[in-house]
Amino acid sequence: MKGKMLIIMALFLVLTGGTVAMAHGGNQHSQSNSSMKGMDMNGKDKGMDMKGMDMNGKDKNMDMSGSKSNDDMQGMNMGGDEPVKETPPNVKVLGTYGVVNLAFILIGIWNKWFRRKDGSYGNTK
Amino acid sequence: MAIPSNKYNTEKIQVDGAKQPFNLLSIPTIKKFIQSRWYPGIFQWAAFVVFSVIVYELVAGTVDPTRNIGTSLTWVLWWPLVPVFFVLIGRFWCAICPFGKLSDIIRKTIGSERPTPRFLRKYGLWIIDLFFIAITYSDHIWGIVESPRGSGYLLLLLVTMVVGTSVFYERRTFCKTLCFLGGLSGNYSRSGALELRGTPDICKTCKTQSCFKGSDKAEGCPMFQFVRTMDSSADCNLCGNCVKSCPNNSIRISPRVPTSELWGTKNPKIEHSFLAAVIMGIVFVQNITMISIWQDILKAISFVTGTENYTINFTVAYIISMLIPILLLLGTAKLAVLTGGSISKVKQNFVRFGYAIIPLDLAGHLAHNLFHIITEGRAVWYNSAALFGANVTRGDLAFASASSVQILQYIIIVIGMVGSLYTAYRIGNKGTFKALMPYYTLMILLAVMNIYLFSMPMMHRV
Repeated sequence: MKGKMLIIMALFLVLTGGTVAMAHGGNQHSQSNSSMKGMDMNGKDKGMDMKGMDMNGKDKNMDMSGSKSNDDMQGMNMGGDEPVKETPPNVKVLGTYGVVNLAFILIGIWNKWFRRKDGSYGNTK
Repeated sequence: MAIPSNKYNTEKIQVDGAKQPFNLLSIPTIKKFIQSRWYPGIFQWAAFVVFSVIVYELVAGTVDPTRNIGTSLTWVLWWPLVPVFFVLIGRFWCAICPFGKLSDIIRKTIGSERPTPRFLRKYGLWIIDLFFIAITYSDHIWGIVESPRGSGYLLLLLVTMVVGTSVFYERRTFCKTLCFLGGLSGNYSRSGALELRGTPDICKTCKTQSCFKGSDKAEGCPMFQFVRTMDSSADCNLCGNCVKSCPNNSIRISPRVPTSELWGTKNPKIEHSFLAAVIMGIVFVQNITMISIWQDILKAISFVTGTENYTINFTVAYIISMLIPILLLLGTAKLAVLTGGSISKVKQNFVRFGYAIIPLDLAGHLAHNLFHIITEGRAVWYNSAALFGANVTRGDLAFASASSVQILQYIIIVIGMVGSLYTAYRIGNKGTFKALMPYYTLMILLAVMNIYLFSMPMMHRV
């Protein structure tokens, strides 16, 4: 009976949003908003503009352009309305991967079909 | 506190002599399916097709992470679900992993099948630990998760490593000794609710050893396991090869009490304990960098380092986050010796009780990613629909409010804490409260740190 009551209470807390249990006492909006004050995402605020934290997209880790907000997280939206600049696939990078993988495959073919025909190593099958 | 070997052996004998747990292979349909050629092939090929689409979309699709199906499927759906798999079905994911399948294909067609180099066999787990740390670090420096291209290149890097190792080496050398997820999955699977084992009475009469060597029905264990001596689920993929090969019907797959393996480990290794502590540090990093106080932390670090260079300041924060759980565990091990609660050496305590952190690791990982899957989960639906050309009106990405998720996160952390406390109690051989007090304090402290971090508003991935 006690267990059932606990489960019901836990479900109630979860489904009602359970703001009673938060460390910030449910003032999530004000906290996150205030925390982000001074965080100019264009780097105009010298006080908060740290190198490597370019919010114009150089540092993707801190690029919040993709961040979306929901009812509880409005303070964490860092101006996600800017359109994303699409870029084509990087042929150089993909080509490098392709060449390296192809080289491995050619080594494998050479090893398997020309150099070592007895299959003397490893698994039975 | 080390378990006296005589006591440990007695306990094991009692367990072995006790009633055997339920064997899933006693259900004919399941056994027939696992023995069939369709298992795990159909899951592997399904995962392989989805993986190919993901890689294509990541490297050639939109660079907007909210609209890229590759980003959604990888970081919003797969990454949060993977630890759940490990808890429920052990390392089954590794059996169907696209990298593993690719490894199998390469090895069977053009592989030299050479033995795994001694260096990898000896230091593989350390390499995995370092690789895992490096990938998390790279993610924060170059933004791999938030960048579809970055994620794509990471997957292609792993593909290259898989191809490179499979061309030369036998079985799943990559999975066993290099895959960053392999270390994580190994540690988490120890807490899992499913185990594959042999029946000792049957195995001791076996002369074929086909579970390891293979047979005409299936290859030998891809993870280099010999079922007869296997006492851990850390390296069992549940691929079913041993079920297919065993001529004596010795294999059983049974449910078990989650975390039960952690306190019965015969040969605890420092690599595992180190990784357990590191994962806790990584959970801290992942949380801290997504909450509002992160800017204050960076500011404080920049005050000390004298530079505002993000890479330098993040590196400092990262190292500190890694060191906190490692030093806490080390300190606790030392304290246990100093207070006379343990007759073992500090290193032994560190190694043995490091396993007790694993349930909290798992809880932290689950709780962190629960936020992403619940508050960003609809992105998976929107982007999947868009992939197939369906016109779906995009709305809020969340299934539930962040405050609801927080309550679930607290519950998960508390469950993890209970798991860790009980594991410490069992590793300590059900010692007195006073003797194990340092470990209990550590587990509660780690849980409180997690709960504090989860109480902060968190940013989204997509």
